[in-house]
Amino acid sequence: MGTDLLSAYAELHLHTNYSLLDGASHPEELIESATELGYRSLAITDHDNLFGAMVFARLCKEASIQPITGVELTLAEDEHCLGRRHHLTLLAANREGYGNLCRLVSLANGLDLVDQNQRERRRLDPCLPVRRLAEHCAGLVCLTGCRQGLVASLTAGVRVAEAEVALRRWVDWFGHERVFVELQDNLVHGDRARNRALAALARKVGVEIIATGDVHYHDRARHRLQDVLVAINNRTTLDQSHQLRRPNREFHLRAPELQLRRFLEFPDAVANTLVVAEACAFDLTEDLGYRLPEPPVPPGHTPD
Amino acid sequence: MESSPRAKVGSHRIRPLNTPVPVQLRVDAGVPTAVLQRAGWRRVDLVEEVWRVDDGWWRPSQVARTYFRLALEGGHMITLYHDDIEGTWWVQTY
Repeated sequence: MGTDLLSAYAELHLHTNYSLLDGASHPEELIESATELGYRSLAITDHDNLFGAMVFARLCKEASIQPITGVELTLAEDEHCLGRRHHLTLLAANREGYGNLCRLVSLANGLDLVDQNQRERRRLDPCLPVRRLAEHCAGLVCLTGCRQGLVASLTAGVRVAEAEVALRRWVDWFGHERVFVELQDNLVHGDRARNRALAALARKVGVEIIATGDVHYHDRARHRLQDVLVAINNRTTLDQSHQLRRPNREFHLRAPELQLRRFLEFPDAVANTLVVAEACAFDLTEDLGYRLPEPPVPPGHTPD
Repeated sequence: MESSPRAKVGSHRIRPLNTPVPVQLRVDAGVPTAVLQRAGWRRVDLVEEVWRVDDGWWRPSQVARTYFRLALEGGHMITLYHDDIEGTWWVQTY
């Protein structure tokens, strides 16, 4: 395998099993697969939490893979998150971005809710009123999300004018250079047509496109566990969860050369994964600058 | 005795909608390049879309299919799939 192919793609939308009852692989398994496939950069984007971010980052560093810290945030347009929800992928570009990521995750999990019952409900079902996102955009790269992202779902529903409004809002909040329209192709019926429409929208608004894998497991065979997790999460059976489960086994971590072939029509989308990986230089294992306090010790003793 | 009204219209020959029908193809690297229809072989001009369905792995009759939406010479569109378990090809309206 040529080194050109090895470094040609970075996976920027990936769920570990810390995406509770959705991701079906441990960080160790994903990173081992990434190493075998020749990845140089890998993002973690679990749903509404950073539980696995540190272990992911440490394991990546041990495997000589650049770890990128991110989240897939659940948003709602209304203040109480009662309406329809959508997803947005956010990646920390720098330390300020990581701080904002932490704040957004905390808010999505109900940190600022005074009522105990409301806070507990939000903790079990995280969601952020979208207006709170505007206050914490600095230092973040915004990928417009999976099929459940606002831009993608409006585009697929042929509501292109509304999709454009949504996309321009992200551009206003994050900046032109930090917004990428996310294209996904997991061999799901409609992926190709949606990607063409999204690419046209990106051109119109003047933002770049980016390819992601919407990874939910490290190996194809693990799709079975992912199906089971979805059924459990929705308190139903495998038979009854047909509309809720993913339609196929193509949400695994793919070889970079396969992504290149999958997105032949959109070479920029693949190339931009490396642009974003380079921009997201924040290293969770090194850049927080934690220093342990030095306790006073009697003469002749050490802190240990 | 009056004959069944269904016999007049030949409804016993009506096939339920969307039932897959076996099809003969020429294939290159897993992708159809020509389809045998009543009028003969028709070349595949364009693979418009490819998608996969994997379902029911917990049942004896699981589904593992790769679908192709094809534009044939002459402009006719067709949807067919490869049954990955049986190794067979079928035409199916999708």
